[in-house]
Amino acid sequence: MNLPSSPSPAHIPNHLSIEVLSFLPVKSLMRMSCLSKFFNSLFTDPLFIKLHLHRSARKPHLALVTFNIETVVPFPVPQLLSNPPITLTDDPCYLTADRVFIPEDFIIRQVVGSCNGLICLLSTATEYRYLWLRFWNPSTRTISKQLGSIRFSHHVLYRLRPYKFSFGYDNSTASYKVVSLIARTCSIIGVQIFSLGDNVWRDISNFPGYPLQLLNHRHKVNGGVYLSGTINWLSASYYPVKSVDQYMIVSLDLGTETYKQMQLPSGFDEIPRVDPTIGVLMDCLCFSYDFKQTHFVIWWMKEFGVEESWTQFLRVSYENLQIDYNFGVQRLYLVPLHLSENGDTLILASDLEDQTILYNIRENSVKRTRITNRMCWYSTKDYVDSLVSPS
Amino acid sequence: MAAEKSSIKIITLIAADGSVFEVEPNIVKEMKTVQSYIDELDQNTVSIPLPNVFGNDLAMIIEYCKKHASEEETKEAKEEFDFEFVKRMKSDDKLRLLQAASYLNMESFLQFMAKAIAAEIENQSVEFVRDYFQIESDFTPEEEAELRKENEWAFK
Repeated sequence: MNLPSSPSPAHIPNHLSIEVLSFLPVKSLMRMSCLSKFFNSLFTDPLFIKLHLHRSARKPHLALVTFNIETVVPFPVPQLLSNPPITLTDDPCYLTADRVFIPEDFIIRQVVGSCNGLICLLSTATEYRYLWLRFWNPSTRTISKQLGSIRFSHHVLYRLRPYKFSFGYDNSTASYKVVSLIARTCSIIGVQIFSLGDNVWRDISNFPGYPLQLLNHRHKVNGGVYLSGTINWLSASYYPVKSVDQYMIVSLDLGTETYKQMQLPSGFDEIPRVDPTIGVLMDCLCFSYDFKQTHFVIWWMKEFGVEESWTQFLRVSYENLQIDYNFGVQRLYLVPLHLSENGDTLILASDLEDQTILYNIRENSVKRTRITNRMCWYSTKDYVDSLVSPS
Repeated sequence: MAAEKSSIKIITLIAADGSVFEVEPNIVKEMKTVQSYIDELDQNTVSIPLPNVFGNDLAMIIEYCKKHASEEETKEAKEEFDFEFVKRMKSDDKLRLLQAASYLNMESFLQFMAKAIAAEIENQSVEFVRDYFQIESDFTPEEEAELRKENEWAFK
């Protein structure tokens, strides 16, 4: 045989080009929709959107939120960790208050959450009487209409009854859901669920306990924590909490819309000076708190829902985190935002600092980010680049 | 009576151009097309013709498999190898290896090559990618202009 050893490749079959394209960021794909009619329709195909989302999840981003929630900027985590001096640009696509999106008498009040590349925003009319939800995909630059209008009665507004929203995805029905907690009285917490698609609020059974984030006004972290089809709240069986065994996690399954209670790690045995928090690190539910005003402690639940799998992940002194403040006067809220893919660097937000803390666990070294914009670090969410449609 | 599967000691792979490669069984585990063929056999040695893969490409694939099958190599060394492996390839090489990976049914190598090609075309123009994948546009000029206008921001 006398064949060339490296001939030109034959025509690439579609299933292989699809494989390649599934690794591209959304911006490139928006350009590639001009390739041909086949590719143009591919990028709205639910199966391709799912494949692309699966690939994107490996390229972690954080949705960074600037002061007053003026912009929400998807930012690659590796770039944040390399810590150059950063000025977030005024790319109009990331302006949440852009009048193209939202009439000027509406104000974005809160970044409720981020899930599969969709960011759920909460906006109010200026007189605070109404609330709306908006679903936004910054990658495709698409945003939903105002949905799920809630009118607060005078009574509720006057008494400043708190409410909290959480955002997640229900695998069983393939729908995005927003959960709202509303304190109806001091001891009755009503719960409503909004499904994107049906676009209506439905009541479900009342909350089994006292969600701390709803009751403690000083708590700066948003409502529940989304993890694999559930929303989780740090709660108490009695409020104000009198003993450490009254703390618990309440987990709402977005598919069955039923609650489950989970115990905290048994190593947590003293009521801390500020409420503990829960979050997600590397797809594990985590629980963190101040220990005797000298150390910050994080546990994680290696296997979700299995109380025996609580493992202490980190115990670090404030000295090592280079946090120096007057404990007698100040109260520190420290919240883990993200753990790098290799498990080396933990990103932490402190309510006493303008910059976020980059703590290298392996080297026990600390850096502060150098972002010139004023940021709302507590609103930072994990984010992925995706083609998921917000409507 | 069928022999144990592990009785196969050496596998001979014959590329499209007739070049011959002798490899150990653990090297072809990732090549599901080859593995399923071997699983059917009960002999000590086996020759497998691969009429869709050329010698140069097969040599590279075997090199990749050897590196990744090795238990002595660290994760960092493998990453370093992957980086250099892609760096010395031309666009055509990558496409041929992608097709070979598909033919040999090598899941992780296929993804590795797809990622390498994606990195190459990520910031390229529509025309470049059409040329790369030999895609014929079936849009009218008006339709394409309209679509480009719609997604204008993605071209900046």
